[in-house]
Amino acid sequence: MSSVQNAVPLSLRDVAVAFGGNRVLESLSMDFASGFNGLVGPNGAGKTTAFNVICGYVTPQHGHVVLDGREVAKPSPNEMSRGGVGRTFQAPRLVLDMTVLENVMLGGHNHAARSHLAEVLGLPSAKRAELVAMEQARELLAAFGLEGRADVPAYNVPLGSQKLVEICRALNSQPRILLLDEPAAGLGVDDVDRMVKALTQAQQQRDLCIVMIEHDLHLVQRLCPFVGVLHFGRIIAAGLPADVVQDPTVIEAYLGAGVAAAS
Amino acid sequence: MATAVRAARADRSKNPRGAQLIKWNALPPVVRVVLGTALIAAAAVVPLWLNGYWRYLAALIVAYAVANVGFQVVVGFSGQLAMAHAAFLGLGAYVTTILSKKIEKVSGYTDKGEEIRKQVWSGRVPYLLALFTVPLVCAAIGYLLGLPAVRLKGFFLAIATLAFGGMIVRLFFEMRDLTGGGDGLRVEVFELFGWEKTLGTYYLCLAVAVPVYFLVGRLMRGRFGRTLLAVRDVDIASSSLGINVTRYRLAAFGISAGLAALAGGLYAQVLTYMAPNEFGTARLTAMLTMIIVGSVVVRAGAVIGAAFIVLVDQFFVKFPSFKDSALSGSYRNIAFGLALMLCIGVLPGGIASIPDRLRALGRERDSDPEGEPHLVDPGEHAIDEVGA
Repeated sequence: MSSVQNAVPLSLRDVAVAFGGNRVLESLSMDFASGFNGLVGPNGAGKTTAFNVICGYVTPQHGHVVLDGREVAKPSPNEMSRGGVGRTFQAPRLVLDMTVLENVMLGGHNHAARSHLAEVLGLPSAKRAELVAMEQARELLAAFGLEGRADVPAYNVPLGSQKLVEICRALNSQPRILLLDEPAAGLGVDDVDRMVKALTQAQQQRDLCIVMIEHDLHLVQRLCPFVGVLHFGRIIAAGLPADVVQDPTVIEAYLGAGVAAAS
Repeated sequence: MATAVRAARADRSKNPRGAQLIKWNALPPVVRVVLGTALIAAAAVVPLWLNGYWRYLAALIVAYAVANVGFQVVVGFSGQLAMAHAAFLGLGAYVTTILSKKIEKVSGYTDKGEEIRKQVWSGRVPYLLALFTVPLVCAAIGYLLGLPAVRLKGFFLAIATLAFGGMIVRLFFEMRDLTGGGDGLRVEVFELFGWEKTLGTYYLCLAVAVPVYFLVGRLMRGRFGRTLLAVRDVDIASSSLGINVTRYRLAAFGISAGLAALAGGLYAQVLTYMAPNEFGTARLTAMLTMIIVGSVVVRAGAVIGAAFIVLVDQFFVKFPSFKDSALSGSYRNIAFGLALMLCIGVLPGGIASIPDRLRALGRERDSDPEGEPHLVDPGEHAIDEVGA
C-alpha cells in the first residue's frame, strides 16, 4: 500500500478552504505524480489558493496535504519548504535591492553549509561554501539563459526575466515538488522556449514533481501529461490534456467562455 | 515609451545596496587592503594634531558610528522601526559605568555634620570587562523586547519600542541610588596606557569601532544580510524558502540593541558625565537623523552621518541665542535644522549615495536613450518602505 502511495509525491486530500462566506476550495482531492502536472481553470477557480495550502500559507478548514504518502500534521511555510516544496509567485517577489545572483542564492537557505558565525569570523570553510553556493546559483541562471544578468540589481531586470530568476531561486532550494504560478505569463516566445527546456532538464535530473498553474493551454498540452481543471473550488475534469479539452463541462466552464470572448 | 519605462524603473529603484557593496568588493584585494589601512591610519593619526575639544568631538563621532551601524541593521536591513535605540545606548552607558565605579550614598550625618556614606556598589568590575559583557546582556534584552514587538509593523512597532525606551529613561531617573537620578552621574574615565585622557578615549572608541565596522559588514554582506533584506522586502516569499522570518527579525533586534549598548559604554567615557535625559527622544532623533542623512543601509553612511550631525552643529556653534528670554533656544538650532533639511532634500538617499548618483549620471550620459534603461535613482530609500 505504501509503495503505491510513495509513487505520488504530492496529494491533496479532501481540502476545503473558505474565506469568510466565500468557499474557495470544496473538498479538493488530487494526486500529483512526478513529472509535469497542469492546473488550469478560470480566474477565481481557487488555483492559487490550492498552492497556498500546499505551501502552508493557508491552513485548510478541512483536509490535509500529503507529501510522499505522509500526512503533514502542522503545515507552515517553513515546514513545507523543509519537506521539499518550492514555489514561484504570479507576480515575482524578488528582493529588488539585491543582484539577480544574490536573489537566487537566497534559495539555498535550507542547505547552507555555513553558519552565520563562521561567516562573520571569515573562516575559510565559510568562504568556500559561499563560493560554491555562488557557483550553483550561476549554473542555474545559465540554464535559464540569465548568466549575463547575474550581477545586475533585480530592479533593473524586466518582469519576464524576474519570473525566470524566481524559478531559479525556487530550484536552488532543491525542492522535490515545484509549484509554478503562471510561469509563462509575461514571457517572450524565446524566454518560454528556454524555460521549457531548462525545466524539462531539471525535472529529468532531479525527478521533480512540477505543478504549474497556466492559462496558456498550448504550453500545458506541450509539457504536461496530466492536467486538472479547477472550477469554483472543485475539480471538474482531470487526465490527459487532449481528453480534458474535449470534456463538455470544461468547454462550458472554461474554454467556452474563452472561445466566445476571443471570437 | 522608453522614457515611461525608465521612469517606472527609476520609481521602483531603491538604494542599490547590492550594487554598491559589490563595487567595493570588485576592487582588487590589494587595493582594498591599502585603502582600508590608509583610512584607519588617517583616523588614528589625525587626532594627534587636534586639541582636546576636537578630540572629544572625534571620539563622539566614532562612538555614534558604532551605535549607527547597529541602528542600520534593524532599521535599514530588517526594515523595523525599532525606536528603543537611544534607551539601549543609555543602558550600555549607565550599566557599564556603574559596574566599574564605586558608588556610595549619604545615609546620614554625624554630630559634627560630617556625611556618613554607605557603599551601594563596590564597582569592582573592570571597565573593559563591563564594556564587552554588558552589550551581550543588552542584546538578550533586545531579543526579549523583540518577542512581542516583531508581531507589530511600521508605526505600531515604532510607538511600542518608543514606550519601552521611555520606560528605561524613567528607570534611570528612579534608580537614584545607582544612577544619581536627575543629578546625573560622573563617569570614571578609563585610562588607556596612561595617555592623555581625551586621546585615550578616542583610541578606545576607535579600537572598538573598527572591528565592529568590519564584522558587521561581513555579516551584512553575507548570507545573514541577504536573508534580512529578504525578510524586509518579501517576507511571505522568504518563508517558503525555509527562512524563519521571526527569528531573523529578532536577531536584528538583538544585534542592534547589543551594538547600541556597546556604543553606550564608549559614549559615557566620551561624555564623562551623563544624566537620564541624555538618552531621551532627542538623542533618538539625533541618531535616526544620522542614519537618514548618512544612509540606512550603506555602512559608510553610519560614520558619515555621525560626522555630519556632530560637525555641522559645531559649524553653527558661534550663533547667538535668542534675546527674548521667553524663547529658549538659539539661531544655532535653526541653522542646524535648515542645513539638515537642505541635505535630506538634495540627497534623499543619504550622503553615502553620492558615488551611486555620480555613476548613474555618468551612465545616463553614456547610454543610448532608447537602449536598456539605466537611470537609477538611489534616492528612493528603503526607509520609505518601513512604514508600509
